[in-house]
Amino acid sequence: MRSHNRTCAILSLLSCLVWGCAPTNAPRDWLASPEGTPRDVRGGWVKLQYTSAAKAKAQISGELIAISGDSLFIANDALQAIALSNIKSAQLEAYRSNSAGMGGLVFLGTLSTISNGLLLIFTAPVWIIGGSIATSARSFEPIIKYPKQEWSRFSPFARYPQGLPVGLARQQIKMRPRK
Amino acid sequence: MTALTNSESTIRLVHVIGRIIALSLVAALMGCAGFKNVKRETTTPASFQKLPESQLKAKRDASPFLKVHMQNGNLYVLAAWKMDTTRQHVVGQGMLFNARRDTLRQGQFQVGLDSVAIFETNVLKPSGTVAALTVFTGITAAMTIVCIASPKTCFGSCPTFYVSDGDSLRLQAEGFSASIAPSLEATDVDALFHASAAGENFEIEMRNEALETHVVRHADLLAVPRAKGRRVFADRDGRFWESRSLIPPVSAIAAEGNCLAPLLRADGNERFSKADSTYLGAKEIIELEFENIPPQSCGLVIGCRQTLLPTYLLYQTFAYMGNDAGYWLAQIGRRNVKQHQNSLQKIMGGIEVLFQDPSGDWKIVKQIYEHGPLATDIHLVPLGRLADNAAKIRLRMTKGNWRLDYAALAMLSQPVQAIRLQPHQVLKDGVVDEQAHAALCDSATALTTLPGDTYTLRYQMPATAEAYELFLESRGYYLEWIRKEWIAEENSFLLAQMFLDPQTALKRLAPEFKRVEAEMENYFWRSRYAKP
Repeated sequence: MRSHNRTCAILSLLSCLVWGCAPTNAPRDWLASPEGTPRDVRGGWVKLQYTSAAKAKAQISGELIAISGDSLFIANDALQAIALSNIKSAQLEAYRSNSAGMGGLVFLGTLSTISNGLLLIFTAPVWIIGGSIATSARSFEPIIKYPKQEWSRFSPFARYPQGLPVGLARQQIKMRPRK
Repeated sequence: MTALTNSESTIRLVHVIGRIIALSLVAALMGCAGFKNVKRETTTPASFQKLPESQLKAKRDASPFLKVHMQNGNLYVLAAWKMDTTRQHVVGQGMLFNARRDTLRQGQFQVGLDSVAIFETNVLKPSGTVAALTVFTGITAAMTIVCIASPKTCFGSCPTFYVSDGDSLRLQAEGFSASIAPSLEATDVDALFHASAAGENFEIEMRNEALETHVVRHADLLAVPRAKGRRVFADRDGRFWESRSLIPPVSAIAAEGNCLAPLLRADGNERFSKADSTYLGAKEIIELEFENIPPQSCGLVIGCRQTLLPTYLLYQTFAYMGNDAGYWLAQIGRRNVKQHQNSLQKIMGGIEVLFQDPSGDWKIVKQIYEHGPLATDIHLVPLGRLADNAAKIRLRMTKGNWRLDYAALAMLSQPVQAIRLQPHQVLKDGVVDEQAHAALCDSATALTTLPGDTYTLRYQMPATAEAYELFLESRGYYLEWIRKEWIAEENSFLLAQMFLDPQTALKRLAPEFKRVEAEMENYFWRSRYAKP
């Protein structure tokens, strides 16, 4: 199984090298599968890049806690409030794309063309080229990017989509790893 | 020799693995295998409360889980959720989490809308990328099917003859199907059982619909005079018998039960079985029962054609010949391999007609043998005068090798003489072709046709055509064009096995044939050659 995963990962990587895939920033096992997302109680994983004037530290990443009118709340070891005006770019991963799995299917699909005899000279490239494009496209599907997209697209995938609850003890809010 | 066998086994194994992978892909993609997108929507309590019941139901169906985000940061994740009748609460089964997302409680909950901050629904939709992979899988599968199906299921077997049945042109005969080399040139008589003719002119359309070269020595019409309402049948010795009446069987018992219905009329509704999955030479029996037989001379009438099993075996033999097909066909031409070739034919056999002797043993009376999977031919097996007014007759044949369209007992009067008619005019593509006409009328010459050629043969009847039962006598041979796909299977060891040890070959080929058997007929008829 580990070998299979490695093969999938290698193929996915190859696809991404050719067509470009969205690199994942979330810790291992952080993101839920699409099927698990409706029951997942945490926010998506967000990575921010500050404007040059804002901070010495160029970027930060963590669980998206909430977005209010002028601030974005992100949690890793501690909750941090960041002014939206200080954010140059952001990338949210809402759920797992499983693009590596798709890379594996493309690999199998390419292998399956051996049953086509000599016709594989037509069908194998269809799988390799088309499959790589599909894998690349899949890796981008769960991703929301700022400034390309509005902040309002980020909010539903926050831990508190309604905004930070009033009266909540902020020091208690931390990134919650999956148990 | 061993290396060849191993190499073939490896290629087959690789193909099988490819097909398994393709099937697994289809299964994985059907389930989308985790490639879904999540459409998340948030709704305020006020908006949620105003939703009409139909929209609420649609939301519930699309999103089985409802997340209820509370003003204090708590969260309910509810399944089987609904609004209560007052529309003041949401009810459901699920879990309650605090703001830190620790689990507080699980069970049945009723949540008041006044303390809810926002509702969240999640709808799963298949990713568009899955559609792309499904298309690729479809292309691969289609190519695989073509590879499985095309090499030995292409339309073939001899000239085809079309005659009007009063409504439209109907395939009624195929000529000399077994004559695959010049030395095997043969004469074939086919009943034009469904021909509908009036007046003194009669037309037959002769086509070459396969990748074959046909050499037609002659195509004569045999017109046998008959009394009104009577039919004439031909036996295997070339004699024609007028029949006073036809008695249908009262039962036809085969392995699947009573298969009488398709045998009562020569209407194209055929009885056939599937080949044996372990040995293609395995036999089956159909027992026909007749009652109220008058004390007269009679004969068994059978309407039948072959299935595509013999065609498959013929093409497989050509495939094993590969590049040496010319050499082997020449050997067949010189009759150097005739005996061996017949041994495979002998195992596959014809339709044996068996009659019970006084001691109760079943004896073979005659064998019906008609090559070709295209047109149903009508055969007569004279039985003489039966001792009893009831009779049981058995038909023994290779499973999956024959399609039976008609069975009856004919009360015979006497043999009758046929009038031989050569075509008086031949047209090619609607234009009179004197050369073709001369070739068909001179026994020293022959008409050669190529794929897509169509000739109309016109005959002048001595009297009105309705007064005759019509038969077509064709003579010639044909040459199969060796397909590129076949050459890949060249294997002298397996070829030798076909000739020298056909039983083993028929066991070995059984699983391969069973894989294509169901779709063979369909692919065969779709691969008819027509000029572009």
